[in-house]
Amino acid sequence: MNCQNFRERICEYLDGDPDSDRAGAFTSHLGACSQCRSEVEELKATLAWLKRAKEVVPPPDLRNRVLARLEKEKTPAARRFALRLPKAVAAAAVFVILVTGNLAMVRPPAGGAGIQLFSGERPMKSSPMADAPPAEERMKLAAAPDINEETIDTDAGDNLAVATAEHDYGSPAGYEREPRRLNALWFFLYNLLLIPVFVLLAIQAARERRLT
Amino acid sequence: MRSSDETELVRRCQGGDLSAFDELMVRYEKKVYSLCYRMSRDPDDAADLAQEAFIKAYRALPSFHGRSSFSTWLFRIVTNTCLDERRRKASRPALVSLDRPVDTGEGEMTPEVAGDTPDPLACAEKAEEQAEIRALLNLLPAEQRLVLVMRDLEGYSYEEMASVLGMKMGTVKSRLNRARAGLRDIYLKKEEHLGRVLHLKEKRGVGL
Repeated sequence: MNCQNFRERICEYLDGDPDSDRAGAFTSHLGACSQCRSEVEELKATLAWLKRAKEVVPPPDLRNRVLARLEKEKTPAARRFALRLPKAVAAAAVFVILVTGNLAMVRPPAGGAGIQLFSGERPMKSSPMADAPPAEERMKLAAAPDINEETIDTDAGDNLAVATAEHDYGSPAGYEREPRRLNALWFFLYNLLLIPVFVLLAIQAARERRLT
Repeated sequence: MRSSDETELVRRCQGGDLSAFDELMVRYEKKVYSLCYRMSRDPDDAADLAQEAFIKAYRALPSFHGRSSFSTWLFRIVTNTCLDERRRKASRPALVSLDRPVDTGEGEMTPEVAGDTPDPLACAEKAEEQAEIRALLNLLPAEQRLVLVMRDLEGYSYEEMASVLGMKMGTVKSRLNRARAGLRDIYLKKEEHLGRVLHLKEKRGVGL
């Protein structure tokens, strides 16, 4: 072993290399080289001095300080949960607004006209309006399937209070009338705006739910 | 046995159980704090560092998959926290006062010293020595100080250091050699300055 080798491995020597072969090489080099010997002496003295550093004890409130901060941090997590909840709620709210809005627009103020239409087959298919069906279709796609079914059900049969509401919602009844032209445009825009919002919210709510 | 119930504790922490994390802290706070203490300038800094490290660890726990042991993973965070802090403060001059640790409000230095011996002069000397060790350690580059502290004060094995620091064993050893040589130079200079260098003094060029 030469000096270079020894210096490279001096930490092992100082730490007591478990490899006894090498230990032998260390001692024989040290016996022959006074420079390395004094290097070792110096290092040993330094480490002996260093090791007089006392053990320290953590401050007694360390853990509590950490816990207090983590506790506080939990609030954002809780808020995240709170944010997620409203997304589902918001989706539901948008849906309700969508339905009531449509009801308000479609339901004829006089009351009679809408009902008349329903005596025929499904109004959607037979609607003369060009722009109503796409909006309608989309709404049905966006809305939960059970509502779709409900509409069909009620179209077919006769009805309870809820069912009547669905009738109105599902029917482009008023469009046939002249004053409803304006309404048709609103109806279209209204749905064009709200349906994507609803779909987006619903998707986000679903995705977040899957994540948790 | 310890590792398996530690796994359980980790799992509970990942589920947001703070009491489980508290239990982990009970196990590791001494070692964590000690390492932070050796890497920092004063007890206040040390407490901040340890706190920071634990908080980082808790936040990062969801991404701990048990590929290494929890303690290796934890000390990786602790050492990184210490190094980052040192780098952040590197621009500031290394102001090390020899008397500051004595009047710590944390009660680390004072009770130890007071408990040891009733002689106030001896107390003062001991406190001074502790402060001196700290001050000289502080003169080493952070990376060197870290390996030196880990090996010679905290008693880590080379293997543990390699996995905690993410370095090869050879790198650990060479860095340790450099750190020890660096501290030796600083130490000898101090001794020389105090006129205490006796037989050790030997004039030769020692590269820092």
